[in-house]
Amino acid sequence: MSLDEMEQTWNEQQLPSDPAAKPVQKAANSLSRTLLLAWAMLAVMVFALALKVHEVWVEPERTFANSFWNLSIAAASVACGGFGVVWARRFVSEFRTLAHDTVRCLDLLIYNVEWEIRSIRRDLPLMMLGFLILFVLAKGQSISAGFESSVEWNYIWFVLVVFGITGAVMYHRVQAFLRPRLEELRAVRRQFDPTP
Amino acid sequence: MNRTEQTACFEQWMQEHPGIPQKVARSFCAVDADREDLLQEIRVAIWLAIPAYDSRSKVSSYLYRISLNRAISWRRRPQNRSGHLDSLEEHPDMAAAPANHDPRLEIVYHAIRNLPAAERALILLQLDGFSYREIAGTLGLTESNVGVRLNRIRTKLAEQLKGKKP
Repeated sequence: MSLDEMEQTWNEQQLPSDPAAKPVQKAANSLSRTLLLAWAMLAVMVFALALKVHEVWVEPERTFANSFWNLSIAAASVACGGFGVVWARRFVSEFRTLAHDTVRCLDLLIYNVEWEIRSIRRDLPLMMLGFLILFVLAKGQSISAGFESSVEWNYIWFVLVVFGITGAVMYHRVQAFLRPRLEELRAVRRQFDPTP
Repeated sequence: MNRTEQTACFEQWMQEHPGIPQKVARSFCAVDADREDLLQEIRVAIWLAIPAYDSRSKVSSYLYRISLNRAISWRRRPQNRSGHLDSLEEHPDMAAAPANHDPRLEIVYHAIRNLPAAERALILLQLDGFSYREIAGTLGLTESNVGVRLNRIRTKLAEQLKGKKP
């Protein structure tokens, strides 16, 4: 080997990268988007609640008593949005605190992906059922108060289809994105385990 | 400088110059475990040295100065002195090839590791494209001295590398 070849070899060298850098960087990039999305959803839900309250305020035939379930749907949506924002902010804060501790950072990412999968499988169907019940109650209340005709019951199908699509999208997210991501994070984490 | 600024600066330096600590560590340690230890020490030294950076020198030469000083003092410690683990370099369990293993590069690093510590520092800086003036500033030598020493080092390396094929 000549000195020129040595210099060429030196300049072409690829430095070993941190195995955790890619998934951690990916998570860091998605954090700001997640937080922004959570805030946007909360804003939309607060706006919807404000519209409902405005309706009760300006329409004399509407009272709190005969619009209770309608308001409950909007309030429950705001509560869900608020929970999403709190969760996202806490996660971002913990993630930034651990930015220099790769192993704990990976543990946090794994915990959160597991938590998200568990939430989609267990909590989301319960939440949808709760909203469906609220929707039926609100519809019944609106029809009995004379704000809507009994034909409006047909909208239940529309709600069921929307919930079905949401469930399918979430199931696809778990299978296509979250599970592979969990496996990837676990594989990286295993590289940091002390070898016996 | 508060802790947050120091951390941000460290992150930025490590992103812009990820190779400097790794190249220095590999030039001073043949065995992976040793290299990891030294790399960790270099990173800590860089983090601690951030508040002392005065922007008069380039960040890369400052990083080289810290890394080389740390590597040389690491080598001076009794447990690391004269590379007592380097004889294990060829043992497959001790020096597992990295994923991007390049046999030509291993020959280059092996030749560099055979040089005395001060000469390693000089050739590392030259290979990374520093001028004689920058090398002199980083290592506290005169420019003419850098030139003379580098000529000798290159002759030594040429002899070492003669006939070596990956």
